[in-house]
Amino acid sequence: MGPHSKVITPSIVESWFGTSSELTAALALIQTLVVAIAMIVLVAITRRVGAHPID
Amino acid sequence: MKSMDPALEEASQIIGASRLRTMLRITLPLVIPGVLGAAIFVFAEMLGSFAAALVLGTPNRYYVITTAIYQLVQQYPPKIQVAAAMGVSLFAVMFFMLFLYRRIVMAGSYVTITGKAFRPRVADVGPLRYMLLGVCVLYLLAAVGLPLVTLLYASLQKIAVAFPTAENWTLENFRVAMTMNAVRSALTNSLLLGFGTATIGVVLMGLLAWLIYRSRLPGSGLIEYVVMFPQAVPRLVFAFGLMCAWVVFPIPIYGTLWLLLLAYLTVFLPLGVRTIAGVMLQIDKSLEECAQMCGAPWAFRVRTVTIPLLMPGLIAAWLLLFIASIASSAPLSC
Repeated sequence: MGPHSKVITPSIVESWFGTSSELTAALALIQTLVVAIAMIVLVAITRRVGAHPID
Repeated sequence: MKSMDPALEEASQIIGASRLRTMLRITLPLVIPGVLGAAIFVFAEMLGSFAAALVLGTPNRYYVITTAIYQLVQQYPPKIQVAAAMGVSLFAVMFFMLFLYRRIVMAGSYVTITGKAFRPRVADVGPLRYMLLGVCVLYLLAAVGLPLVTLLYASLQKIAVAFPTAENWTLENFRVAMTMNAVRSALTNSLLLGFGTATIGVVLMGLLAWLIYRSRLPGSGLIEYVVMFPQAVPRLVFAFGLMCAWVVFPIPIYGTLWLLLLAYLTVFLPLGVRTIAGVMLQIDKSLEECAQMCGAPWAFRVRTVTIPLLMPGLIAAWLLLFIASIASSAPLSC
């Protein structure tokens, strides 16, 4: 949807067809790491909220 | 499952039912809205899956409907009409699935959250725990561990081979990946879209779930069908449709993150509504009615009764929308 609105997963798919599989693997790992960090933070917040659902 | 009163299962066991029978006759029927919702979602998700099919299937000329549509649009001259017809043919399958879901969910009561207090109980599965743990570990290793280790192994080599020499190891791929402007901006865009879609989506989808399952609005069933509609459309087809529409539409959001946000909110609408609805169906209406009887206005009832009880579902929906947005492989950004 336009050249100025790239997101990560299609970029990885493009990289798979356009560059080396080693670079694509690095890109995929970076994405996984970022999502994993975000998830850990969010799950920690969720547990905090879940521990006291109703005051 | 956390919201289920263990007294129901205990009552079943007291009158002589085995664990298996209790699970089949008590536990399973109560979790049916969640299980069915998840099953329909996974089914639709697989019908519309694109990236894995493209990367793994296309080199071996193994096509699924989404990659076939992609090929039809990519070839010269593009066969957009044929691709659109293929996409539309999936609608019938999805609407049948949705019809089935509504029939089953509307036929019974799945209330597990009532005014009565209870303490959730952990079931003791005895020696079976080791076997179940083994199955879980095996699944995690095969589905998550193996691909990740393979990726790490390949990304640390100049040329990926099974048995690399000492000279073949390198960190260059990570340096190149991090210095690519396109990748950095794509990662930032993905995170921004993830937060935006999840935050706006939870509010929007929570309201829609309330309208469908809690309000006495005429035509709420029709709203559910409309909400589920994006699930029936392969994302590839949806992306092309949206692109064609917004290129000619006078509001200039084509080529910006706003259009992606709009697309993600629409595409993930069924996921969010289905997740929240699974929890909403378990909350007894009498709790809200009780507050109404005490004179609480609508906004106060929602804020003090519905939202606190819905909180686990809302958080789950937020997390799911966030992950789905970041991991979305639909070529919405091509």
